[in-house]
Amino acid sequence: MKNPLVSITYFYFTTFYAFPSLKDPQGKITAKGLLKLIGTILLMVWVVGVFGSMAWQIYSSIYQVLAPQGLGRLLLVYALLYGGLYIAFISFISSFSTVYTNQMETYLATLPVRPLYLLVGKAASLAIPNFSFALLTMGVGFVKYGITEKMPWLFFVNALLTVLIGTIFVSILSYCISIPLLLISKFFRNRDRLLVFVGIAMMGMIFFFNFFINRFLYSSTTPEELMVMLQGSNETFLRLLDALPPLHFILQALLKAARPLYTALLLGVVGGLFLMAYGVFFILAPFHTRLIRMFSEQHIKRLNQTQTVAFLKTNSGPQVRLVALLLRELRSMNREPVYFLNGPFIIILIPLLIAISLLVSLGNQRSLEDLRNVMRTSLTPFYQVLASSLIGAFLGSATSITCTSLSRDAKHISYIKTLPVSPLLYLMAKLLHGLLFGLLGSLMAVFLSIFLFKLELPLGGLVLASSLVISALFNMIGLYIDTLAPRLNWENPVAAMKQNLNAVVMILLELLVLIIIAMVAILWARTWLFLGVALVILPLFLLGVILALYIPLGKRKLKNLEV
Amino acid sequence: MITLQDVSKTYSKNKTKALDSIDLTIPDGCIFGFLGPNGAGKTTTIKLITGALEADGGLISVDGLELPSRALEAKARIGYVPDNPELFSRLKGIEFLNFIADLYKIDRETRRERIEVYTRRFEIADVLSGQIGSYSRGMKQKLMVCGSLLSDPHNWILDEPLVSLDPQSAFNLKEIMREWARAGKCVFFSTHVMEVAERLCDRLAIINKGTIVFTGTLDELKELRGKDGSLESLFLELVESGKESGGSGA
Repeated sequence: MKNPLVSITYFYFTTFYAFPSLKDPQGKITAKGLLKLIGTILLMVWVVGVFGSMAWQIYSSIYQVLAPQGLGRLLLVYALLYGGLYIAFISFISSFSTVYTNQMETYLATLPVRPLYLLVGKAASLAIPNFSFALLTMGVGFVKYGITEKMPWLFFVNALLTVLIGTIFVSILSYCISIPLLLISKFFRNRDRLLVFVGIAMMGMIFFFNFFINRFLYSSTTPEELMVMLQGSNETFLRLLDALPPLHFILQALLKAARPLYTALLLGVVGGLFLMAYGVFFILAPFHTRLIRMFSEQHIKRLNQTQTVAFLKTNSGPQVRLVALLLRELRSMNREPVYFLNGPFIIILIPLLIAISLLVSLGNQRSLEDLRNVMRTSLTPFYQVLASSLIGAFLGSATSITCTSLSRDAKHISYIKTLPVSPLLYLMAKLLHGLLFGLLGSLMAVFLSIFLFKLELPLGGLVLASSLVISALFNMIGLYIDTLAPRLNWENPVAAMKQNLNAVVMILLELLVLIIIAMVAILWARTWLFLGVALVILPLFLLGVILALYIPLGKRKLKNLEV
Repeated sequence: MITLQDVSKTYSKNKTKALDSIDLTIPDGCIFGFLGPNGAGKTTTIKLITGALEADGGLISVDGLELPSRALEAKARIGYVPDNPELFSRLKGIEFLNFIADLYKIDRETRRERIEVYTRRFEIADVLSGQIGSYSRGMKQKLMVCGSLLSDPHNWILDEPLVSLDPQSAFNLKEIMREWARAGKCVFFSTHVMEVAERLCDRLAIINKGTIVFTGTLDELKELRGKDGSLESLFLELVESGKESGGSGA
């Protein structure tokens, strides 16, 4: 018999992360399950590798500037404070947004389970990725310092303990803030509103992160600039160090790591923090359970008699079937914050990130006009069109609309199959949904190209056509993949979108194909005609071929789908 | 009228044989109850008739229209209430009804009139501007019933329709079922509530382990068993004998 706390933690862990299972429903290990698991592990390794190398580069840049001034040790303070800030943010956002997860949790709260187990199980499930994130943001800095300064092995043990201390501490702190905040604030006790808030906060963090990284990467070539940039923070950090004795202690424990006493002391701190966590969670647990019940309350919007009469008279416009299906697609996706923020919102997010990168990299230009001039002169019109088209294609297809479309419908599919609508029309509405956002992404690319490069209208037309065709091709492939292997069994919408391997596969595929197109165009395309063929005619031909292959497959798969 | 001849179904995922050569005729002008224990094959049968699933073999026809060759025409003659009303949570009630009306090609005036009549009858007209996700389970069930009636279907198929309904709504639903049958239309519903079947059905079929163990009227059932017991005891007796003998056709 499993301990209830272990079962609860397992429940939350599977709810939050949904790792692909090795075994099929009959309990047998399948090749498909194995492939999925290997793919997921490889993806995780890749993500960790990318973030890790980015963090390594940043800490190396800082160290190169600080070391000649005899301030190399400040790197540890940077890692402690910047890393700590990031972990605190991520920890708060994750705890705040998951105080209530789904209806299954409401059911759990009715079972004879100690409220403490619910909170601890949830916090433990979130602490695992938070710890990994802390290793990247804080640990990499420590490791950089440790290797460069040839620190004793106990330094690395102490560094690991420090990362653990940081993770536990911010987890406790996050719940100390988020639970009382949600108890007193009616505004946030709405799951949709909460998710939108979290989405915006995350976007803010991405912008800040992007801005911060760009500043470092672009300044790393001139140490003087980097020194000027770090000067302010150095002084702030030294003041913080004086004002916060625990920071001072951790720094001592790292610098004097050769003495085992510090390792013992850090272990004592870890133990103390676990005790503290128990105490805090013990106090907060009943409030957490109360919040779960509060979130479960249903608020039904009722009209009065007059409003009802007026409403029924105004809301009965007929649509043709394809439009009706398309409207359902649009409403079902864009009213679900999880879907919208991780899907169509990318059309807004990516151009903003590009703008930040440009502003930082060309920050020494005097005006916007100068910036545009630099952009125009640094790329020939040929490459301006190529870059804009590829950006447009990515924007129009990275929305994950088609590659999750059947997965998102899941249990609805069985009902829709009973309605008098042909499978082809149903599937084409899904493709049309993707194409509609493909058009939006393409228009955004045209706008960017005209704004940045002052492209002439015919070239803008080429950007529009190529973005539209390539994004349509990707959307078609996405629909193909999701029809072949839809993810249909889920309780939480997150599973259909963020935890859907089809979305991951498509993003990687899109990046790969776009890189190949760019390489081919750069290496071989010499004329506008060649570029037109590479960016419009060839993808259009492929789109036609895949569509022709898809139609019979889609109809057959839908007919045989047993949901 | 709905007919099933020698229909079988095995689920491809777990290779479970859900239906084994069943024959069933659901005539017009009556309320036909479909009874059976959990996992007997009731929902599978309904899903095959409505086109949600495809049979491995046999013949299914709705008003003479064979499935799957004339599936779209057949579906246009069916109104279906699924067993799980947890659907389209992000659509507003009115949007769901309009969506259904659009797919059944119902004109503006007719849909307006029917939406008003049925949603008022089931007392959900005042919540139609809200998202379905905010409704209680009973309200969702009522919305599904309203949606199934919008096309004025000749064949009305309901899978466990009375679950989650309050007494007043259950009464309204049963009244409409009777009206439908009186109008010469076909009403086919599955239920676990024996008393409901006893009071409501003109004809009934009992299914157990994917096999039809009885088809006929309540009187015929009582006659067959030679006892004057309740439907519940007769049902249990049939199911038990089906278990012992591995099921037998009526």
